[in-house]
Amino acid sequence: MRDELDEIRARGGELVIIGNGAAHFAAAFREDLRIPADVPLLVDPELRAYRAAGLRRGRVELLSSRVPFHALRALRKGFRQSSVEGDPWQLGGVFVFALGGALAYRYVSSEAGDHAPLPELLAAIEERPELPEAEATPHWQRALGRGLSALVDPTVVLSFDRTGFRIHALAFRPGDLDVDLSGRRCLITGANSGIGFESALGLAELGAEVVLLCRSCERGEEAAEQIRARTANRRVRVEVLDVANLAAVREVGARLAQASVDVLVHNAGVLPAERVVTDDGLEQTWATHVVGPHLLTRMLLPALERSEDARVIWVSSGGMYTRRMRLDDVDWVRRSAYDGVVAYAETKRAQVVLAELWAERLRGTGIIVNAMHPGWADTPSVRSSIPGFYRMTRAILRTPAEGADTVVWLAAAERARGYSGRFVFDRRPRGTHWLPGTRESGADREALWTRVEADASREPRA
Amino acid sequence: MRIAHRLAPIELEQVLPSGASRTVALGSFWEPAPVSSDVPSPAPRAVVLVFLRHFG
Repeated sequence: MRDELDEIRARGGELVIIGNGAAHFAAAFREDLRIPADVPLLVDPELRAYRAAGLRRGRVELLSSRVPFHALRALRKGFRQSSVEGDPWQLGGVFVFALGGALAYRYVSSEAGDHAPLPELLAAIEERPELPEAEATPHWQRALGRGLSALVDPTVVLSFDRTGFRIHALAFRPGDLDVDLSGRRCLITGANSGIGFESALGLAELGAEVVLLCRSCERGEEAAEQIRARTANRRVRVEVLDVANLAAVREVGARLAQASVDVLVHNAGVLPAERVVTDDGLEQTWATHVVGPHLLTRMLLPALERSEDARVIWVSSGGMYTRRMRLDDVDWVRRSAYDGVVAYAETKRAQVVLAELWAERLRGTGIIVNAMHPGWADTPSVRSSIPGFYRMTRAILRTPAEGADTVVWLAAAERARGYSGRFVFDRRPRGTHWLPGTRESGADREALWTRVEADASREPRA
Repeated sequence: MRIAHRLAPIELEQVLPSGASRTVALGSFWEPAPVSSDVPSPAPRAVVLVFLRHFG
């Protein structure tokens, strides 16, 4: 870019450079490449602008067969790369904005060493056309992503892990999240950490008003402050709510239903080591994952109906594939010993079925309901609740942001409105049964609705 | 305008040649400055925002 600066300026363009390393790397970079003092050089070590710009990140992109040729070309031009000063997996890109912010040009690097062609860039500066911001991923890349997905998805591990995300992401359409959510109100339970936090952050970055529904006021406020600071979006606030407490769900739900709600994300989750019974007499996992969210959805229906584009998202788990929905002992009083992992998987299965039932019942209302699973992500709850699994898989876990990507997509993307009653993983609807004996009957499904309705109407025990 | 809208409020640290730094909102680079009659300045036609893969 240093060689092209004069040509850019001759056409009336001004260069702004962003890197993802620390400030001292930027200073060394300016000196080594003799970047003029009047060219702004910015650092983005948290990759906030990179993410907002839809730039790619991942190992797959760095393994292209063309990368050595790019390196050779750079060497011929006298550029010798030193050590990587920043995120080694991040790719770059170039954007040209006319004054006022109209996008005139966008180039998203698809592999290391891949640069925007200078003639295109210069033409964009001179002409400054307003480009449609929809499709940026070449068809061949999406086809490659789909082909690789077909190979790795049956392995489960290479699908649920970070490699899986990067392969699935080849087929993503970056334009899907070029969405302005200003004026939309999003509620997220369990939003102070992990997938919930990253979902809230992603929606706040898109301009939405975000309400974090958290058990702890203190942890919720800390999360809200972080999100406000990272996004410059002040419309982020906290409501204290334990979704396992039905009286609290009724009280907070009634209050939140006074205004319209556009997005409701049921993310709060627990995986207790021992059987815990709530004040309403429900087993805690069942109450947190199933009954509480069901009641909250019911309480917020008037608010969702006021939205022109209402979406309800249930954050389930890939673990649900291992279990059949079981309604004969949701209280865990008939089984010999409590198993938190089994309780977790069974209730996550129930969430998927319940999302389908809600979608059926709300068909024609404009409210869409989907469930999703985030894959295997490195979240605080994975570390603390299933430490053995975490120790085995820590090297391959996704980031929480990668796990939350589908939540944000389901909440924000226009394309996602085409789905209701689906189970979505990495922006694609998936099947809900892999193993024999896990499929529920139609009677089971209706029994689930009846049971949850009954449990949601419980009053606290005296 | 949507990408510009998403990027505009993001505040990043600008590393100045002196080694000092200051915080700037990305949108400040393409949002037109208020017109001042006594200090004419040629506005750029366009802003080229380059995201490096990494420093180095």
